[in-house]
Amino acid sequence: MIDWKLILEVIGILLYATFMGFIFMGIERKAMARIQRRVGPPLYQPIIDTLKLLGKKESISHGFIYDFGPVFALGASIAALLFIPIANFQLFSSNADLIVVAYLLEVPMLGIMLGAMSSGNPFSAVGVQRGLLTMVAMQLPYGLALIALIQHWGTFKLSEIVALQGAQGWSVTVPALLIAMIVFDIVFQAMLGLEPFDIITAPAEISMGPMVEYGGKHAAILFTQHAVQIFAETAFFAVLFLGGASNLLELLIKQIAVLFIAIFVASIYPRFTIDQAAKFFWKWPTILGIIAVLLTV
Amino acid sequence: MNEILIILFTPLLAGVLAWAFDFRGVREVIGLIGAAVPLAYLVKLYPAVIEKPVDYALTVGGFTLQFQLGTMSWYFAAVASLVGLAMAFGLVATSRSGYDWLFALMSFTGVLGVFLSQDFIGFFLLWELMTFASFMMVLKRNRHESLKYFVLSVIGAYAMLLAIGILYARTGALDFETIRQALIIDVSLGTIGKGETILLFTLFLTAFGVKAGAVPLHVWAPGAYSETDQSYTAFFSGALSKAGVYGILLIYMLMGYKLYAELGTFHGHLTFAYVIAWIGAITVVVASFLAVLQEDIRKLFAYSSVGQVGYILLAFGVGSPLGFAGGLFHVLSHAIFKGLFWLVTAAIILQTGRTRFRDMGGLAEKMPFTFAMGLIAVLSLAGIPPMAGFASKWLIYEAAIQAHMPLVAGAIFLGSGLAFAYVVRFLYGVWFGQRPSELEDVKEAPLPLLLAMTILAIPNLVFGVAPGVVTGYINRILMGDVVGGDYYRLVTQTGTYNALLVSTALVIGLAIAGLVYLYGAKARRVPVTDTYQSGNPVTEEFNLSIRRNFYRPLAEALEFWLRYSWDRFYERLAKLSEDFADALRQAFYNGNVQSYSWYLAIVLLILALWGVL
Amino acid sequence: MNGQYASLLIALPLLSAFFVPLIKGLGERGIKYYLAVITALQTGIAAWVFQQVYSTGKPIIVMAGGWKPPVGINLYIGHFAALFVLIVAVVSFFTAVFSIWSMKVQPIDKYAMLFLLLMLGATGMIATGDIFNLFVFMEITAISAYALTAYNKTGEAAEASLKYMILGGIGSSFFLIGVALIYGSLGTLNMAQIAQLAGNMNPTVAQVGLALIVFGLAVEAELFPLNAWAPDAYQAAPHAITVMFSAFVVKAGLYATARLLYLMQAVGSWHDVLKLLVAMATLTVVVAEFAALRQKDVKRMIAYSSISQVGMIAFALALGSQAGVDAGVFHMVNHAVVKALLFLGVGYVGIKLGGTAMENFQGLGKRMPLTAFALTIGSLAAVGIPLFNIFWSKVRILIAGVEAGYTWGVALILGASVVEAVYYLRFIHAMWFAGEGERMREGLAISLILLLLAALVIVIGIYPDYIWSLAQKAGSDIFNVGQYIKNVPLMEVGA
Repeated sequence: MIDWKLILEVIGILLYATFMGFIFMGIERKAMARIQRRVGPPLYQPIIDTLKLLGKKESISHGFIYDFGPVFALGASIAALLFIPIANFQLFSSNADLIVVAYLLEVPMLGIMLGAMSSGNPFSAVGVQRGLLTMVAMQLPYGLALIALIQHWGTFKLSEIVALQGAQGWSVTVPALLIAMIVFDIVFQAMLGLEPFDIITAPAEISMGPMVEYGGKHAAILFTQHAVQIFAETAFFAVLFLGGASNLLELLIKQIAVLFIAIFVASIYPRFTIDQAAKFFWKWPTILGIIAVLLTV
Repeated sequence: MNEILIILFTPLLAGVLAWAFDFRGVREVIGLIGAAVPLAYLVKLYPAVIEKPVDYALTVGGFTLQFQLGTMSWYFAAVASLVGLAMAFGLVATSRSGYDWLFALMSFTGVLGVFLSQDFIGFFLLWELMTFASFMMVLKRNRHESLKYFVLSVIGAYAMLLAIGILYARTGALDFETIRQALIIDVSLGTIGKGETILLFTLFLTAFGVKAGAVPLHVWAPGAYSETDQSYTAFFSGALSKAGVYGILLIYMLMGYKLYAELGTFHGHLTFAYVIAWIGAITVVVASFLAVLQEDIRKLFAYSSVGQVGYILLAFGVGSPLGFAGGLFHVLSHAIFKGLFWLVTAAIILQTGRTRFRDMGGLAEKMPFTFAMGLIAVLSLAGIPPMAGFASKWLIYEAAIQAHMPLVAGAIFLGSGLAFAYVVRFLYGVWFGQRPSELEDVKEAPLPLLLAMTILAIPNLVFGVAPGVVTGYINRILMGDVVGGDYYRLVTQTGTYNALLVSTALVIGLAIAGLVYLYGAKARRVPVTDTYQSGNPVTEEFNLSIRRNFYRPLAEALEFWLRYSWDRFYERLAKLSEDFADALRQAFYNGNVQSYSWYLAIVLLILALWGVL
Repeated sequence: MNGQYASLLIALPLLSAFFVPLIKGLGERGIKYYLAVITALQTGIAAWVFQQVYSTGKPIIVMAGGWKPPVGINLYIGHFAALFVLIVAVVSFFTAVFSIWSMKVQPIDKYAMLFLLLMLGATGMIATGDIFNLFVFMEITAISAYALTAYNKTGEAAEASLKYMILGGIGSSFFLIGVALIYGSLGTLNMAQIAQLAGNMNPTVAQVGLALIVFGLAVEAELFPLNAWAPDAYQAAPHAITVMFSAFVVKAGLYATARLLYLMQAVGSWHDVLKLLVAMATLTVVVAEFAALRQKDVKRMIAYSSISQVGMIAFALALGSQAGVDAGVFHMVNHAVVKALLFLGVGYVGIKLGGTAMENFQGLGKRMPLTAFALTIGSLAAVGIPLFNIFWSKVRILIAGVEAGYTWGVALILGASVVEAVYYLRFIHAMWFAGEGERMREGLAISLILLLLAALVIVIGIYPDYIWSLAQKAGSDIFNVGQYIKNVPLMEVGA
């Protein structure tokens, strides 16, 4: 038995998510530009960029893993997306477990790292190192925020978390979870790779970090991956703390709200060095996270 | 002849034979057979075991040794045998001496015996055999590390012996069942007081903590795991450390109720279990941090191993059925992925002769199969769905959070972030980047080693996609429907993980991404030196890969904590006691007959003061 | 055959010792072979006695001149004595064989005499049923031991011997005072009768007497802090003699202590004495282990280890329980085997390579693999690795200790055993994994003895049941005083 409805939904959501993801990237650039009093590119610029990259005549490759890395990253991002309840489209989310999704959202990182490492470029290596250290640093507050959430709602299932929020009010209306959300939002900044935690790619410092060597279709895949990832992560945020959404529009508003907070924070703060980031994450966000989990025990 | 006897002693016998007939070819064949027999018999006994336990008793030294193959011992024994078989294949490639075979297989017997014993004499006896054999494997290569291992093990063993002695004196029994019942009855009788119960608990915890490598008793592990044949380490860290974990379960089985009755609960958690959980959590964090900062491939995996066993302790410490399920599952997954890691390490060291990251790099092209195996291990350890490592970790997460141990669960999050970091370090350091020119002639690992890796790689995939196979069996062990679902789906009260669905989603994702890739323009292969370096041309002369201090910023961030080291603490302690020994000897056996005569006078005086003279 | 032939156990070494001057003409080799033959004969007799006692299950009581005790002096060869007399004889035989090859220092005839007297003394101490006789045999043992310690004629040896003599002399004087007190109070020297009457004694006299006896014997039994003479003596004595010291001379002292202790159970302060002994024994173990830790000389290291093991035996014997005594006896047997093996091996290497310093043992595995193998087995056994004999007795002692309520003592002993593991394992590492060397020829006889002992270690380790049953019988021989009194056919005189 083939569930045609589900297949259509999956295809539809994937197209939508990719498209909106690119638009989010555009919004990011545009908003940033406006804050810095520049004109900035049009919103659809990332799509055109990606198409252009895809159209390149030839791209270089450093071997199988170099090719496999981006493919793996995009594949994992798509997989993660399929488990998040997107508005009224449940996709696979009846089976979605918070921990599983949290992990799936981290897998693309491994793909990028794999590809980057195999390029042999020293900047990539530095990027990889920074990426992983950021992850190590943010993992503790991130985990604590998720734990607080799970403890409060008493379930790991995303669909149930959404349903419970529908019945009892959004997560943010609970004081302890508000703290958790603040923590999560700080971590979120790092997940999106925005200042003050844009240490990984660190433009103008280590070239493009992990992405240095990538061009042509590889870069196009990575761009697409980034688009899907942004969409998935913002949706994840909305689902966890903002009560999910009953339709795509509501979801979109929440996603953009989340995105704008991130952009504003990013445009205010300068970049941390990696050890500063680690020390930062292990101080205030962790303390707040501990308060949150203890409040929800 | 009883099957249990065959399972237990074939490896030992084969080891002795391999040592006696120390010829190339002969010892390998004998050893392989010896290592394969336990697994074969365990498989054969499987239908019988799930019906009812298989028993066997043996009388030695006036003690009756009882062995039993129940559901739990079958599980542990099967895990050990699987790793043991892989180890044997590995040894075919890496070892050239009967000595290695003898002690490797001897420890195999020891480990199996520990899992099958139903009384403390057999348990202790085989525990010591296992310790001793593994010690001999280390002694051959490094005296200092082996002594460190042995001293800590002996402290653990004697702690256990003392505890056994106390239990025997109080209950008059040595077999588990009687002790268990006696301790349950004792809750109302109260012959064993609170103080003594705590003492027993501490002693057992020390004994098992040493073997499991729980912080702060872990200091032996990095050295011992490194300074031996790496094929053997697959067993050492994959199976032997599980003996400690098994011991923790034993504490629950024998003393759980008594400990609960005496120590009560702490914020809704069993106090004693909470202690175990925190030990596990601290072990996870400390060992994982140290693993990230290692510069030697063996040390890295050694610390990682300690950290991963910490997960198991943590899971058992949660104390809920789900916790046990997670811990037991992780016993299997740790054994298979860490065993695989060590075999990969063995292959690398065998083919390159190097152990430090700074001497390696770019080997993925030279040893593609080994690399693929390494990658599977990496994915499993880092807990990437759908690998076996994820399924077990997921259960532990669920258990810890469900039991409302948020801080302990936080340690898991931190630990898995760190795990991610160190496996990537391994990937980068060994397989990628520019290859040192001396490693141009490196070949793929020999066939037996590849076979050994395959033996362990397959379960990583199979149990990853079908974790329900394992949890189904674990439900049998725990005698209840702890983890629901079917072969592909794990369902707990609060969460669900569908491994097949995740795999499907990944396949869909990969297919889409792959299509994009395939329909893109063709890619041209360029060498590793053809890379962007701020405009400088890259040549072979300068190796641009980051070989040393990869995670330097982390070390800087942790500067304060790294000043303290358990290692140094123990070294200092050892030196202090040696100095004390010297001082004692010089003071007492000073060679002066006059003072010797005074000793006599003093004893007479004491006798007089005592009132007996 | 009549049980009275068991008196040959005393008579044979005594007579043959006196015959030594007569056969001096046979030359050096002749005397050495004579020694071997006599000890072999002694072994034969001991084996026969052993077989008799254990098959009938009844002790052999030898009455001198047919006089019934307490008027006559009797030998009491029960389960314990039968077992240990056999061990004494066997070890003596091994050392006699070893001496054939190893003894170079003149005068050999004196050596042979002293050797036989030492054996005689130990046998007598174990077999006698009379407390004054015990003193006499103890003096024979001690004096021949003093002389043998000094036998190598080096300054070191003389000094060690002197220390031994002073401390031993003080000890035996106090022992004698104790005996005199008891005799004065009870009017008997027969051990069975003492046991019978001990309860009626004047409590003060009994207490003082017991304390003095135990004190005197503790010097021989190497209990801390009365054992200061031991390391020096062990090291300075000829290698063969060290084997005997460790394997049975000290055991005779231990046995005597235990025997007299349990005979006088009825004495009021008995439990206090036990406590004191337990404390001393525990300290013996701890101090000796620590003293051995950084020892550069292997022979001395093993001497310390031997002392600590003896402490463990004393601990077990002083527990005052059947289980403790059984375990102690079991440990005595195992210790005799292991220490005989170790001292023989070390002595052999010492002579071959000119010294017993640790450096000489480096690379021994390559130079003298058989000896190194035997030494390794011995060391592992001493550490208490399972499937070697000492493990079983150690476990028994520990369980008995905890049962008797001495958990702290057991904990200390276990802690000290950790130290023991360290130095033995260093030793093993030195033999096998350090240093280089050419293969050397190893003597056949000595290799056979070493391998035999090593095999014994392993056989007992894997199948301890037989020896354990022997030890249990021997243990109850000591512990079960009522049976002891019943076994001795006392004449009804006065009392």
